[in-house]
Amino acid sequence: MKLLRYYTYALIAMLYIPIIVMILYSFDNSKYFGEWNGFTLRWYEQLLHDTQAWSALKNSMVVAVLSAVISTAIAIPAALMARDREKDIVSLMIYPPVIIPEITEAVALMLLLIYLGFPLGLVSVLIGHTAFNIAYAYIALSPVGGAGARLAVAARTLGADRFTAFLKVTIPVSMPGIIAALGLTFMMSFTDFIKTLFTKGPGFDTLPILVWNRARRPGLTPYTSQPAIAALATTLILISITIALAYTLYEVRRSEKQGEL
Amino acid sequence: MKISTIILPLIIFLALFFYAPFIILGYQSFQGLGGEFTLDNYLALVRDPTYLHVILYSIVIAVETTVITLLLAYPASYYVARIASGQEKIILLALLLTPFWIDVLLRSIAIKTIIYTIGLREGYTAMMIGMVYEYLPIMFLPIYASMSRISRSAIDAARVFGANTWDLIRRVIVPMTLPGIVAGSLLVLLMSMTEFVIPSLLGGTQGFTIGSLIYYLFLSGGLWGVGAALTMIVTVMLMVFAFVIAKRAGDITGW
Repeated sequence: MKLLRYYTYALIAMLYIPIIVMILYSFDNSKYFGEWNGFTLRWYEQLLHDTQAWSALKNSMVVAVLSAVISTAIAIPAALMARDREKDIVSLMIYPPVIIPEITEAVALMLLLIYLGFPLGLVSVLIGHTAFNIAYAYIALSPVGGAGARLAVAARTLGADRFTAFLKVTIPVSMPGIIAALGLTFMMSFTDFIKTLFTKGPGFDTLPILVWNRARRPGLTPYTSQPAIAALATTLILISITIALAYTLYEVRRSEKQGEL
Repeated sequence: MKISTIILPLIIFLALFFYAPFIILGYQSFQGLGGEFTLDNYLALVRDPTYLHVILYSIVIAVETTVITLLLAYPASYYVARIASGQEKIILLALLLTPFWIDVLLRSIAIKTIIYTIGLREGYTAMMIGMVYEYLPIMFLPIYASMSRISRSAIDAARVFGANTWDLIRRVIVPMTLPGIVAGSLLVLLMSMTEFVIPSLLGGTQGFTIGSLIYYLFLSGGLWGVGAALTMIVTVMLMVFAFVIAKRAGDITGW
């Protein structure tokens, strides 16, 4: 049994060693992975003056915020107010976006946009992200749906019209779920790579796309040296982990509170 | 049937931007170069040895990934589900789930640093290390779930009737975790078959898989018909398998 414990610990350590090594190399005063030439902060300094990275960050933020808000807004009425029969239809519709591999979704959407003559750029990327985010927003909202719906019925028997009941009862009661949905969809969109790659068109780069472009052609410019890519990737991982931690802590506190109710 | 306006925005958005694209994709897959109806795109995938080779090669990689992750994840899932408890169990589970939050692109770059550190370069081995690294947590979860469900009394009963450790594993634990093994294996097999990022960044000249082929056919090759046919096959296959998993192991994966 001791052996099994060490094995499990070693296996889990394997999941983290590459990330730790990458973080170390982002401080490496060399041009390539695998050789250590002393500690430096220059790759991070370079990142501060990297106009491409800043504009990619801006694009990523714009897409992620808009996609989170739009997909949550579309999912709210379906998750919080729909009747059981309607929910069955919705459930049937949202599972394929979760199951189907992203690359096939991305290719299909790209074809449709080209058929329609829709210009590829910010809006097409936003549409692509929102199409899969709706499913995740719906899933995140579902647990609070029941309570909100029951209280809304109570409000209506007390004389509120449907709209007032929704605005004054359902939305406030469901706030924790709405925040969770926003967090999850922001995260999905912010880190998305494949859907973006196929729907972005030339000239519109998000941070993951920038990482991809540079990682594919390493070593040609100071920005594409391996430690510079490691620094960019480390920065992105820190952002991801921070949001993920905030989201997880929020979810834990939310489930504790729901336990009290 | 009456559908209220409440769920209309969701239905319309998904119909327009998720389901309609697949109709266009299906249409494209039956289009010849001159716009006529044809089956050539599908036949090309089987006839042309280059395509067939890429497809078979991707299946080999996916099967290898599945077998290796299954062997690696199985003992660990037994430990986490049945031996670890309290604080230790929570920490181990959290550590196994955290990588899901880091995109495969970033994790591939992390693997690259390791590959270079141990003196390897991009190629088949590097790609397989990346694949196993990516899919290990995905294999772990369904097996862990079915492992957690084995009742203590089933194991005790086997012990009482004189089963040694080997018998216990072979006759009780493996059969009882079979739904988890099947679900995890199908999940990894299907997801890894269309993996695009890892082969592209770590595979070097060995990294041309179905994912890269789809990318190439659409974004640089301009062969949309064949690309659409290939994507259709992958999608339909996945939907069928997903349906089978949902039917057979629905309660375990939570679908």
